[in-house]
Amino acid sequence: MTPPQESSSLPCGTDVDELTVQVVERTPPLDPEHQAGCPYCRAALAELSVLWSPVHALAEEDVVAPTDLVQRVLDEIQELDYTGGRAVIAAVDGDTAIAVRVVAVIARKAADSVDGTLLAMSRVSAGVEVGAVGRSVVVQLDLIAALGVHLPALSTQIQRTVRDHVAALTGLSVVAVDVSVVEVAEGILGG
Amino acid sequence: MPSKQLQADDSVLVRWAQDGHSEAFEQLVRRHRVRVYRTALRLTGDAHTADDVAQDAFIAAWRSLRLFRAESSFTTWLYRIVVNQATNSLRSRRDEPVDEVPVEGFHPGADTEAIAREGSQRVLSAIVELPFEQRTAFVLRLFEDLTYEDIAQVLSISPDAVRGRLHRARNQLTKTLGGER
Repeated sequence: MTPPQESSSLPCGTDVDELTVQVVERTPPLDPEHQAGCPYCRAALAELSVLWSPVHALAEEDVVAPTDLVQRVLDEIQELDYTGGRAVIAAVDGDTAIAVRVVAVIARKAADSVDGTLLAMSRVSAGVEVGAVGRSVVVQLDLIAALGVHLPALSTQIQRTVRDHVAALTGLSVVAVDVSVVEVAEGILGG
Repeated sequence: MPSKQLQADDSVLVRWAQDGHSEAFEQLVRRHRVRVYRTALRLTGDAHTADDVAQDAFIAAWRSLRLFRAESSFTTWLYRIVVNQATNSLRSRRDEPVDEVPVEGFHPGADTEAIAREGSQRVLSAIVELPFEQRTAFVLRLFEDLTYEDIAQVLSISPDAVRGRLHRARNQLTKTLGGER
């Protein structure tokens, strides 16, 4: 088949390029009345529609990103940001070192599990102020809360949950969980 | 268990990510991962290359996030990074053949699936054969539905230059697709 060539005109004077843009980009016709009655335009439009239909079909296909893409990106970023901080649990049989970023992840996920939290962002300081040296952690959480939630109650619930989770999973002593609500927004549950 | 999706604007998350909160950036990655991967896939024509390009694009975005001044939208800025990463990738793999691209998430009947896959592959090959500057404009317009002005911003060219590239891309594809029928 010979497709209508762009940069040429039909016998009715219509620019083929104009029709091609209309078909390819699915824009409304510039002169709908003329096109509806003109055999040259109708034939050209039909031909162009068939020609470009595989492109439109491709554009409508769902594309699914690789399932592990997000995790790979996060792993790379974590490597870039890793500062080497760690908490240490000393024992007779040997020390256990836990990177602060591990504590941060646990704290964030714990805070995130509390209803009313939309996004928790955690920072952790190791070995501060109270408790055995190297074993105490202070968790600082900045969070975006759901609009309409009672914020003091949310903060209390987060502090409890984070303290319990971090202590249970790491054996570290959680000296304090400081919560800063920095934003409120609407949120939804989804996949 | 369903995960929470934050409906905060990109600008809010960008601000937090710029302060070093990787969790905010994670939300941005989740939100834009399909767009970024799809663009990379249509530009490179190869699933494995697109995967690398998408990953590198997000990491490049994280590295340069502090330089983002919100003069354009985050999405426009991200598209620019994807195009740059795809350019670098294709430059380094110029001699490699184009692999078959899986059509993920598309599951019609067996016969129509085979026909559709063949059609998709044929179209994708024709697009990948376009010169890169035409291909980027075409992909951003046809597959990402960007306006001419947005494409101009992504590619740092004028809207008239976008029109010219799209015109040449359409001409080339009309010949290629028409010649195969």
